[in-house]
Amino acid sequence: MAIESVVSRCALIWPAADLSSAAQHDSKRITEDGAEAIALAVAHKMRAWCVVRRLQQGEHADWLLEHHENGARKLVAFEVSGTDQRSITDPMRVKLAQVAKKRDVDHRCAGIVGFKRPEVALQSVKARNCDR
Amino acid sequence: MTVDALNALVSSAIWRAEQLDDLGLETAFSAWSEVSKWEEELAKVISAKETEGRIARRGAVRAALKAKDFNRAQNLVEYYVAETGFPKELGTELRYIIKEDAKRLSELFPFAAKHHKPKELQKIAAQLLRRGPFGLATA
Repeated sequence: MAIESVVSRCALIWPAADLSSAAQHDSKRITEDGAEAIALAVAHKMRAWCVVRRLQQGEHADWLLEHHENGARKLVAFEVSGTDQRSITDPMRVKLAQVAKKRDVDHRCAGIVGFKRPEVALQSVKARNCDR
Repeated sequence: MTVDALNALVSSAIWRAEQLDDLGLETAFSAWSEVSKWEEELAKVISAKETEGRIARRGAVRAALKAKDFNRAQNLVEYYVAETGFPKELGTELRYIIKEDAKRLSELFPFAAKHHKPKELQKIAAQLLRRGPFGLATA
């Protein structure tokens, strides 16, 4: 799997919240939904990617995004994950391996949101000639 | 309906079905059925030669299987494969999705799998879902 060396990274800032008040919520769901919202917003802000649709499990990505390059519409498979771990490197490796399996799109990218130290990173898998 | 509107509808339907699945609720089956219908609508307006058309066709079949509507999944595969200019490799993928689901079902019900063919097993699973265990006993 060839991974692009460029990582788009940015720190996030949000007001501290007492998580005990959210004790009745499913923490896995909160992390996943929060990560998706943040990663999609960052992908749009940093790369001008827009959401086309959500993908079902088995498509090797969570979202299908689009952008325009030299007037041509390009499709992006986007896999998102959120983590409470200190480092986002390991989840990034796992998600990149997953999205790398996606074929017939122009770009394959993983977005990881860290909640322990608020940050987000986007990294792409290098395109193959046979992708589309 | 526009492709954008269908994409929005299928996205929210997938999100709902995933949530219900996570909670283990029975309503997840009807939610997946809805997903399959929106994917089918998308497949009607986007050719199988396009990426999104292929995603929609795989999605319609996958969601029908998750809804335990095996006949619908099989019928969709047959219908799609018969389309003019349908990509051969997509046909292989769709059949693989059906085969994998049958395999998963056999692993889930090993005793039944010993005595029934995968297709019969799918029929029994659908009956179990529709009519419950007593319905199965009287079938």
